[in-house]
Amino acid sequence: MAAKPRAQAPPRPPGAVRRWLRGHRQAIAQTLRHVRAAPLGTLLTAAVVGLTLALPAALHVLVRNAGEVSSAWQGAVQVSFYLEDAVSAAEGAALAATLKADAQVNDTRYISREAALAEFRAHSGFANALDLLDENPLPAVIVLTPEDDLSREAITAVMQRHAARPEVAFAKLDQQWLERLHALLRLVNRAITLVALGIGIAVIIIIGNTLRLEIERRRDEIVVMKLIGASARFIQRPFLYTGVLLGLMGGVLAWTLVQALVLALTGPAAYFASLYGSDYALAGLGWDASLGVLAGGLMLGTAGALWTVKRHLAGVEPRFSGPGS
Amino acid sequence: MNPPLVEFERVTHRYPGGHDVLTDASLRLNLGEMAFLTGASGAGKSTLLKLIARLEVANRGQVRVNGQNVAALAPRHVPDYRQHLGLIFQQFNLLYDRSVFDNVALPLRIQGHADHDIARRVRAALDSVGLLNKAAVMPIRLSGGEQQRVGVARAVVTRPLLILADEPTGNLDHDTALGVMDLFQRYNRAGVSLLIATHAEELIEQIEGYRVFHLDGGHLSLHPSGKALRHGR
Repeated sequence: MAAKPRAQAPPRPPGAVRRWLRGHRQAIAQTLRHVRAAPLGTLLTAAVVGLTLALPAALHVLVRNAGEVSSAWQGAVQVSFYLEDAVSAAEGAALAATLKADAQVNDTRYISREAALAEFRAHSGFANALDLLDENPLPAVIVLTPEDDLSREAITAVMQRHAARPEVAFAKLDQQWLERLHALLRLVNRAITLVALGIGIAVIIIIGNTLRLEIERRRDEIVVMKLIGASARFIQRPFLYTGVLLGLMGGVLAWTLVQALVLALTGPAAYFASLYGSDYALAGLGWDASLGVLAGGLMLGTAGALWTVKRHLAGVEPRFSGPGS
Repeated sequence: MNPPLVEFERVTHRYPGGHDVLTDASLRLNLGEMAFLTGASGAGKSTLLKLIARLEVANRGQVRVNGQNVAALAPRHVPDYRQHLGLIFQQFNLLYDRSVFDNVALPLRIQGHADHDIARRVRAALDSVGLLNKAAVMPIRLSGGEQQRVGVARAVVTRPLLILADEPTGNLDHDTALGVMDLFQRYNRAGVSLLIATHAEELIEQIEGYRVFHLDGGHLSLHPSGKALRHGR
């Protein structure tokens, strides 16, 4: 037997802050309930977002590593002074000592004509051909290593200052390829920024469209909630949290993919570097870029949700039944 | 005499491109009163309820609920206003992906009540409609009458100022419909105000002591009671 309805005072509405906090707690719980109800769909959307975000993140890792490698090369810049044939070994060695006294010079190494020939014979593979020559064709060389913190302009000035000496036939600073590499890296960096912008828009559209379909699927529920007094914010919250969750999951997935890629390439890259006498180790995303990927996913998810939810929920109007009835 | 809870003052309403659904309609429902609204299908019963629930705004005239002109409510205040109403629908409008308990709890969750408070009030509401033992059941597993009782429990769980029911028995057989009407009478005896739109005049004829408003061609008229409705014809 049903209990007799009793007249009671209407429930006292809770305080605004408590109501707000409960609203968010309920929205999070509802979001997680919907994720649990359709885990595959959620994972697929997050996977699409993750793969999309992984592209600029992987390009960033590539450029970062190329930049670090080229910086290491930058520190090894040397200037070669090719000496006149008439300069004796003693004069050459004395000149090397003079150049080393320059405050902007870190070190000098004098390579005599004989030493240059011996080195060439040992490493070039043309030993037999050299035997056919009447005389040593190689000049003596002073290899100058500038101080580490010198700019490209300062190194050029050092080279020009000492190239004017009568003992020097000509001097050479072979850094052009490095400058070209840096220019290429700057270009790629700019391209990554543009790609990231395009991908950001794509992620917003992906998440927005997912939420639009979800709103359509739950149209009846939204109508009922509007009819019984749910505010726009109350209805929007679970959808906004879904967008945030998808973005965050995508960010985590992108980070995992890129770090896995780096891990997979670390061994081969280390071996490759060792062939050039380097102990360079491949760098991953780092803290700053990792936070960037996660925050990027989070922000794009939020933006996609905000872009869609307000617009589409406003179009869901409650009704008792058909007009005129 | 109780103060008026709902007042229609010479209200006229027309949908865009249509004819007048309501013409110069005046109505007064007192606090604690239960009344019926009858008329043929398309007579404007739902429109009248929509005007009270602020789902429509009258073209002319004024609709006041508890002294407040509902047309003057800012859109952001409409949800708060609707939280003071209990709405019951012909199609039940239940959420079929959640349990009976969660359906009835929804208005309280919207209002931000604590879980323990929600549990207590939902149990009381389900007890009042005789469905306490079905709290964990999904609505799809219930009969039409039971689903409507879930709708009634959802409408009363917040102790609203006024319950608006739009053809609440339209999808129910005669005996089940009488059971729902009996439920409404019991709520009314407990002090709840109700306005019930129905075209099932044969049901009203069996209920005495309530005023019956009749809509015909957009014009609203008053019959003194169900019995009078039957004898007056």
